[in-house]
Amino acid sequence: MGHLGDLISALADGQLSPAETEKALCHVTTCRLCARELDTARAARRALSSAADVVPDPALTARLMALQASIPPTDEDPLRRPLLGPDPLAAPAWQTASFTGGFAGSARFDGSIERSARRRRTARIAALGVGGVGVLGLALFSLGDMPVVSPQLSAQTSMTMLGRTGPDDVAAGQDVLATFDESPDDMTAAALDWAEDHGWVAPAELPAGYTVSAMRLVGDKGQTLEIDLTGPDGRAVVRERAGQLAPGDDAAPGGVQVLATEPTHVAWQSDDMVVDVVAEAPEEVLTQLVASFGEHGYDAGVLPRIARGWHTVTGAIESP
Amino acid sequence: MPWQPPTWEEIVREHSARVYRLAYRLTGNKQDAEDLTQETFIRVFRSLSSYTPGTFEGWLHRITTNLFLDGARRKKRIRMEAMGDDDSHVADTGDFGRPERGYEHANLDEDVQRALDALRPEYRAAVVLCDIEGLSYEEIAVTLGVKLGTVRSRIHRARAQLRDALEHLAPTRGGA
Repeated sequence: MGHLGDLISALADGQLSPAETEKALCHVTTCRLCARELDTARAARRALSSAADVVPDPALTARLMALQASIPPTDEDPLRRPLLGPDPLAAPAWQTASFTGGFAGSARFDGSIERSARRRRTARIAALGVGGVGVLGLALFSLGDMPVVSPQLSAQTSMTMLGRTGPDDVAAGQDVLATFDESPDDMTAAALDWAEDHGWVAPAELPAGYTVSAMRLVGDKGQTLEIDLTGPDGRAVVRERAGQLAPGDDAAPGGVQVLATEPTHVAWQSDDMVVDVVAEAPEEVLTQLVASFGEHGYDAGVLPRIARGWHTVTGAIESP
Repeated sequence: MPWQPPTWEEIVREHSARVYRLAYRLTGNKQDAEDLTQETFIRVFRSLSSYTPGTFEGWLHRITTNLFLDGARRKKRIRMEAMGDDDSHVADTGDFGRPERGYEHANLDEDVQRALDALRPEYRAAVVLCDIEGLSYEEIAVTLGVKLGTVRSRIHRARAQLRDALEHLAPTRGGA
């Protein structure tokens, strides 16, 4: 028998049939060259298998999770739900650069975003007229930073939110109610239906006597929904945006975090939405309101893994 | 019982580490490994509805290695055009000397990765699937879409090159 040649590696890997193996081993015992080859093949194999394991960066895993939200849905694919979050304004808003700075690292409901939203208000409403509010721009989000939402804690923010409940010409954002053709009596139901239909979390039923007094899409891309509620016991503002609620120190059972008490400001995760509510209403009304949003948190208390990239994609999801 | 599709989270949780490890050993650095992993999962995500039950791992291996080899071929074409020469007998050293190299691995691991990086992509894929992923030659043949004999010779040649590169780490039995 000649030398083993490339059977050496197969032998080292145990990939030969029993008969071949026996024959090969037989040869190795008598052939110094092949014996040495076998040793080195085994050594190389050991070296490779002993290479330290590498583990993916958690950020990569998060981006992979986020693919679900980044690629447009197709029919009949159980894994792909329609993209949440209405984005009727995709075209004019995409070019904005300020958005990246505002949301990528620390997505906050802060003033700077609202200001930039106001600047763009005219253009956005014009775009709305063309596209219609029901048309969802299917936005491709890239796999950028996943938005961790830390609702702003200052009492001032809470007060500001409460201060502008109701229709308000100078309030930032795009007035959703103005696009409805409903009688005032039906407005609340229409608003909640709209929210539900457009992928937001909508309360099943508002506390008695409460109505939706205003509803706005806030932010460069209308990525935050703000619902103003008025009722006999005081006002409340509900805000929602897709993202992952930053872990808090004192999350109550059910995942509701109490952020502030004067006025009361709570936040929780609802599927892939972060919902926060500021209310000057008494506690039982607030409790009722929070409860009306149904299940809080998900995934057995583990903070949500669904993340959403917030940057537009161009090349990242190209089909090779 | 009909096949129940797993959730996307389950798929990512269960398979991302394996895909990343394979991608890392193939590409040799974190950035490219992450890109390759991401590309693989995008592919998986897109074609999941057409996936029929079988071995999911095998499917992932196939996508990852093929994407890697496609990319490597594209790079090679560019290099060959630039050199105007046939480099098929030259070890693939295209990724050597990148500045991030060397800061990501320590000692043994770094040496092994450098040795792997020096292999031609086809050899590298075969030997990584064998030694890192523990696939049988048959599985590697299916994954790479080549004949069993080709797998054998690729692994053998890869080992021979690795031996030279790693000689100081694993000295052969002297003399005897």
